[in-house]
Amino acid sequence: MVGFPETGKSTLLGALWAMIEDPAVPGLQEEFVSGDRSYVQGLAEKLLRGEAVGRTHTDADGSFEAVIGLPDGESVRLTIADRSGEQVRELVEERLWLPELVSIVEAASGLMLFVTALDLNPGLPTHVSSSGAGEEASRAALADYSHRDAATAAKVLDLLENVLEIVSRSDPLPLVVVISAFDVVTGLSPGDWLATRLPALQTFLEANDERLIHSVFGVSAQGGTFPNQAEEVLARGDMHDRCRAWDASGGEVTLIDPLLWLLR
Amino acid sequence: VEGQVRDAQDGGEHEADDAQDPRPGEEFDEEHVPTPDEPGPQTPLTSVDDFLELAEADRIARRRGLRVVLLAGEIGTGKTTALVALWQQLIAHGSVGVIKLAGSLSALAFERRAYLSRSVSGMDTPETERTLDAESGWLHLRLRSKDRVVELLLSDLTGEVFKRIREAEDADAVLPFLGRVDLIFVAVDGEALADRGRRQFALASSRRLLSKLGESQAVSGRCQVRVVLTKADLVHGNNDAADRWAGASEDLLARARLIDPQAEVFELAARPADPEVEASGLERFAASLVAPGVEPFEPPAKMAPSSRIIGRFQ
Repeated sequence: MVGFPETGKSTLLGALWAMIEDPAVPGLQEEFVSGDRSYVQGLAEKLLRGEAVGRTHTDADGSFEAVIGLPDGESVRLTIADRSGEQVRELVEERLWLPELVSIVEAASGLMLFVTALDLNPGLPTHVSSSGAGEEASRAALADYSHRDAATAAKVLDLLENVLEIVSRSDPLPLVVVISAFDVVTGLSPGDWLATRLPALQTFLEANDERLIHSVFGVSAQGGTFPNQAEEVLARGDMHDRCRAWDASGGEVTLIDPLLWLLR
Repeated sequence: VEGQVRDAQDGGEHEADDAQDPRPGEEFDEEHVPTPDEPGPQTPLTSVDDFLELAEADRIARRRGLRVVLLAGEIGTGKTTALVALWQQLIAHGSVGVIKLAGSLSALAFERRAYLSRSVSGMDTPETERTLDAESGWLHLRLRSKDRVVELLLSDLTGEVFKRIREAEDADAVLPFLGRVDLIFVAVDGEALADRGRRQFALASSRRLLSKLGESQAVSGRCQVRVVLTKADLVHGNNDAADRWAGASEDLLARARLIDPQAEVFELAARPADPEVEASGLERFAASLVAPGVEPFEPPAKMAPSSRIIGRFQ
């Protein structure tokens, strides 16, 4: 699971775990968990209480391994690494590939790339007409530039270029683009949203189909905004009643489907 | 349970491909200074956040076939502005006409150059930072045209370089990589053309630059040439300048065709002075970058020693 800070990685993981542990939910079933499950358990419990999970600290151990029963009766040993978005931010903005992130990406058999519908920098050009600001003003403004000011699409492209470089496999790497907080989007399917809001990412994915095979999902893992809509969300029932997910064309699916797509 | 497990973490696809390029860290680790709390050796990034120096450009050249593109023109002719406008369109729309963005190893370098044209910079008017000598270098761009993906190395060199060529020095000496260039854009400054006091000098500079490039022994016989009128909106808003350009463009084209018999002239208004007017010519610019006609340089299947490759690049 990779993405910049606060793009919904831990929220999805917590919601998934809550559903895996719920025998009423068809699909994934917990068969065996190795190691400490307190991290994912903590995420799930927060969500069940109607609380936002917050940012993952850089040094937090957000990994867990489990053997999960699939809907077709098979089992899969799943290792999910929920790395802090800070590690990805450091990679792109501070130009620092943290060894831990390198190891995870090298070993990954699939990627979930998170972007959020709530916070995008489209890199809008300025259109105000006036006389030229002059070289001095330009230099002063440029001195304030940092990579945090870069357009979201450019930062995601930079991330993917680096990721693809260290992934050693002969076949295309499966990648799911997860658009989080998709409940705030109206009138667009996840595929349309990607095409209109991050078209450069879409063309990148299409052009690199020999290296990446991709799919797009929109998810609402919280089911609404916390704390403002917490009561309303809790009133809907258990986690599987609160969460929503949509495939690229806008068809409603379950929150488990992005993961199932990666595992197929 | 174990008998049923399909191990998603080890799908048997992780064996290193020995025939592939060396990992970045094996050839590009001299720049990084680890911080004290960093554990273990650092993996260098593949992408860069500023211009590519020649050695880095070569590192890309040895990995994939690519086209090397030289944007030639003196200070203020709009070379960087053209690149920034192209990048802005690609980031905002994913494509320019039918040409689509397929990636970049210098996305953040483009972003830095685009910053002054962005509202986030706080600038009232779109600006492009003038390329200084110390900032001269190369930008990487990957474009897709239909089913063809083209890797590009685009020069972003200070206009001082071309002034030196015009005034005295041989193009081969100033541009040691000239033999490796697949496509040359010679920028003619439309703003200068619209100014009677600068017009004659601007045209003479462009003629001279084309002549010097034509005299070079290094320019490949397969090199394509495009003469580009930049800031074309200013010329077409001025009848006198437009008439002068109509005559001058024929002369410049004739000189360009001494280098490339298929040379063309086109016009570009990458950032029109009137903010209500849309940019024009970017589709032609992008199409020129990916136009077939020159087979991209294909690196050998087995990696040759670095010094040989750099020599070939140069």
